[in-house]
Amino acid sequence: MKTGQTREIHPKCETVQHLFLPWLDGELSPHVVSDLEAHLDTCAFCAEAWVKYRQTVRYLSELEPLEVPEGLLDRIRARIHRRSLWRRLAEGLLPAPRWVPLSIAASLCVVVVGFFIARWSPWSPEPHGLSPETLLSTKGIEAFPVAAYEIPNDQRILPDAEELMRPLRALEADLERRFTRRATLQDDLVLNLAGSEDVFNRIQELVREARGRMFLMGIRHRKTGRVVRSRMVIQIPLERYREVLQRLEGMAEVSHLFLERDSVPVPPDRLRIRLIAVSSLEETPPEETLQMVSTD
Amino acid sequence: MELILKDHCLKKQDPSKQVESVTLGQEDWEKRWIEEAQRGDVQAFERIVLAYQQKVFNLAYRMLGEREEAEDLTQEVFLNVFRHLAKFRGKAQFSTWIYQVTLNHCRNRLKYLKRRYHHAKESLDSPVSTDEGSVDKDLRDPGDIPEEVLFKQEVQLLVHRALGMLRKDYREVVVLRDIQGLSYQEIARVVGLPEGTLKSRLHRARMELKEILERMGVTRG
Repeated sequence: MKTGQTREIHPKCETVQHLFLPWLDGELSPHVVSDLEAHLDTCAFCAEAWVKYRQTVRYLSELEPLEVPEGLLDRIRARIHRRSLWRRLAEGLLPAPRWVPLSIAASLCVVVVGFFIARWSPWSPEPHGLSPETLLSTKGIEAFPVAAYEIPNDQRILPDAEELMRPLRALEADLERRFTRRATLQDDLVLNLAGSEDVFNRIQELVREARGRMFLMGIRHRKTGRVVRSRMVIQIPLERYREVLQRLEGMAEVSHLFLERDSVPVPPDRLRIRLIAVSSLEETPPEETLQMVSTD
Repeated sequence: MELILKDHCLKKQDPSKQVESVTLGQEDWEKRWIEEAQRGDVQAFERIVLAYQQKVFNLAYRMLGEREEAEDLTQEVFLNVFRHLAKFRGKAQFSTWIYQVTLNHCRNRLKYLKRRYHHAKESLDSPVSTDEGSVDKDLRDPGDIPEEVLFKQEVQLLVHRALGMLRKDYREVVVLRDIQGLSYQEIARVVGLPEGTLKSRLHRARMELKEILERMGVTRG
């Protein structure tokens, strides 16, 4: 009988097969081994299982290791270098007094990080096309940019959310089942500011690679004047959306906010990242995007 | 155990040291480089990367199943190791620590992949869409490849695929033991299990893998 077929295993056979591992490791005493061999002589089921067990282990041990991708060390080195540079800048210029409450420290961090990125980024600090104010000005709130920078490109935002839905449906059927249309069009992530200097650099690099656009800003409540939220908005070309989202989520400092979408305030030591798919195929009036971005 | 490492980190700095071979006991070089890296020496850290990148990359590859994913994860692992190296106090073996970090990253990535893309998993031999239309993935002409080599390649592909069908916790122990060749003691420390439980899990994992390979027609009685 084939071992792959369903059958009731005789308790004796079960005991024998449990000894396959120590047997293969050479940990059994000679008399136990001869008992096992005697059993295999009379039990085709266990004999076949033993042969296949050893084959399985042998195939695994014969799997050839993959060569490390060329340039891996260079890529790691580049990321470490960027982090070190950032750290030196941050340590030299950002002394954080211990008495500063966490929420203020977090806000300061966002502001100063934005300032530095704007100043040190190789990108142009001048926004092209849509301004962050325009992008985030919505009912009841207004945005003030603490930094605004983007990679010049020709991407525009789709006028019709439905246009974005079609390819995204194909890509993310599971999302479609669980969430609303808006949820499918964008993703909210949360960045832990404790590791911000490094993760900002990585996100910056990621967005640049994906030829996306990135805005960092605080959002001030129109009536009270208080900063109610700090947010990073990233626009990614539709074709790179899934990849970028995946890589963002792979970062330890970034957590996903699937079920907390817009309903749970982000703690003060965290920064919300809003990732939005855009397309270079269509021209779009910015107002349509605003409706996707607005939350308050 | 001795390790001979071509230190290409030094190539850029000093041509006279272009191929410096360092021959040290494993624990010696590891300890020295870790201490130097903890003091902020990036080159020492790069030596650690060189020493471990193959292991980390291959562990990630066998756990995640895809080369690109594995490379991305390897970068993440070493960045995390760099960031948290100061916290490493040498209580555990450094290799154990790196394996733990890698495995944790793999678990998180698998969780993410399962949540998002389980529906979109494509078959390894499904056609690839290109601008020129649809083409088969395997474009090799098998004509001049010996049958034995073809069989071996096929088996490797199937075993790799079978690994992907294993439960995550089963895959971990199988990869660490049967592919990476770690001792039971070290695996127990990496996955945080008593040795007895670990062996029991490994046995069940092998039996399950055996069943999968049987169904694929790879193992023969």
